[in-house]
Amino acid sequence: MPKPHLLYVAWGYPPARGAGMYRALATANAYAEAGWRVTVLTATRETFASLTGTDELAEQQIHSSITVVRVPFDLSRGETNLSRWTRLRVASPLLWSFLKSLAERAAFPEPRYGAWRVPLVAAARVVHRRSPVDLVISTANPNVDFLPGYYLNKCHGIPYVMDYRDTWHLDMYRGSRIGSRSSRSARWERKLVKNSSEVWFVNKPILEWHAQEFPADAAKFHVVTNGFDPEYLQGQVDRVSSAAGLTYGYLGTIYGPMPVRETLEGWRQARKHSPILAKSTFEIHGRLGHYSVPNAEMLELIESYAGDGVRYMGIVSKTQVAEVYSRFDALLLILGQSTYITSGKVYEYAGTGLPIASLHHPETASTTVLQDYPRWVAAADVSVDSFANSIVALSTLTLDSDANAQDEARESAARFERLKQLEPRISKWTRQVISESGNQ
Amino acid sequence: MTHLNALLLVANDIEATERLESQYSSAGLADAIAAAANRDMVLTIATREPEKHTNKAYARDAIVHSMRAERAPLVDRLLLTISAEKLRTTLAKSPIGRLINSLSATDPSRTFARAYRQKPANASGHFDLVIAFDTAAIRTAWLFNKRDSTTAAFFGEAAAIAYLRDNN
Repeated sequence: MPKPHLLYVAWGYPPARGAGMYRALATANAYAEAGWRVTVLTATRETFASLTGTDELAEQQIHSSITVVRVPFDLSRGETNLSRWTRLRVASPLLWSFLKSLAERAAFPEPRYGAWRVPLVAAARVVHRRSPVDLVISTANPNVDFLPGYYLNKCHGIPYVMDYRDTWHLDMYRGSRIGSRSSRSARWERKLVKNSSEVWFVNKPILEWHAQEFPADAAKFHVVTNGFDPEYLQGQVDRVSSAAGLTYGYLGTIYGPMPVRETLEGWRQARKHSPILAKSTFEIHGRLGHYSVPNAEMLELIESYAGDGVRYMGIVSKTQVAEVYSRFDALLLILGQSTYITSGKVYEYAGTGLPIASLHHPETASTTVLQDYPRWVAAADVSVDSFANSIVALSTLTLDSDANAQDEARESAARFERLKQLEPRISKWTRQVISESGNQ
Repeated sequence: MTHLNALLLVANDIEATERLESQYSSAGLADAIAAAANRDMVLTIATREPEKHTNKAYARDAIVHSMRAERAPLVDRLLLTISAEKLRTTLAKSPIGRLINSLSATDPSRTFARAYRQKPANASGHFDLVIAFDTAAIRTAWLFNKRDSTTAAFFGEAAAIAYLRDNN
């Protein structure tokens, strides 16, 4: 029997940098590992070099059996070679940009990504013509990723899965709806959800919000949490902490309304109250903002705490995270307040077995993830005092831990491994596709 | 091998001095470009406020060309007479007004282009590379490339350096 063929659509696929890329990488790899023939539709290398920066080490993690089809993405907005600028663009960059935006929105109502619809759908059709596809899984954002599945379903009856890494019309910070229900993008979402076979969400609160929006389709909604990739934590060295000084760490992207200022001020205050913390350092690893160049304002803020032992250590490839976690005695989990945001790093943090202090509003989705984790302290609210107390409590928890504490914590987090989240969906689709091809 | 003749066009001098100082204080900008091109080079910085750039570390080994003329170009004098700047400020309050401004003679890219045309840095003759440091300098850099396709034109010195490095 031939292997089932999965068409996986992800704009942000290696070598793209960015937190969402790992879900795409892991999902495609998991299906390939489960015996599927996988073709991935993604953007070109130049796209990522220009927009997100590249992670070549992540690209090496792509399963050897996967075929990657790179679909050109329009990079003219960021064009720096002026010989490629048109007369109109030079005459009025404002008018050019407006017309460009109109053209993108005409193709699909998603700023900057809309124009990708035409080449992306065309590429999906070519893939299906050459080798018939059994299932399409698309991960968004960008939401234009959902369109190949829709068109292959419309023309050839291929089932498709919408994997919402992010949300489309839900503002996850405010918990409110984005845009009107009659807008063109809302109509597109309705149509895509209605025709899909499954829709995946990263946590239950997001699923419930969508179930209220699309009650008729709620039965096909599933939670597929991000989980963590244990292979990236292999090689992490267990830490023996000492009262001579601790290293606190943050590893992840810093963006949006995260309480960074409160954390840094809380850290400064905690050092005044704790002689151990006064000898300790706080290292921040990861991206400042969504782009390859660090956000200047954030960098300046962090550097202004250099005298308090705070260091910004730069961007980290996922393949280096074990090495970075090995430097830390404890972790600070800094998140913006949202009932809807779990954040992928909460699972990875738990996977390290290190003590964690949650520095965010208690009503954040990640709170429920950590409530059974044995090495955890949480701030009572978002304030400098509360954060400082948690940072001090974390040092006590770290230094009072026995030799087995890290192993035990790691074991308690094994249920968050990413493959365990994907496994039920892979099994279901493997059974279904094989049974359908058997019936034919 | 002949030396590389490069021109850096600066319209926003405050932003330029701040950013260039923070990025090219150890090795000057000319050194950074020469290293990327792997060639000797002559760098000219064209600006309306040359005093802001002279004696700066980033301008080491660079010629600072003053675009400040004794008399402003005719169009600018006419615009001054009819108080065009006031109209520009009023129009800037609405999106359509900003669009009109971007197409008008008061647009900073056109003002800069006229100033450069009035007092060009032509002492060295042909430029192999023209860099627009900011958006207001783009039109002038683009015109260099349109008039002579052997002149490479880039927006931003980082893009120019990356191009030279990749094509070296």
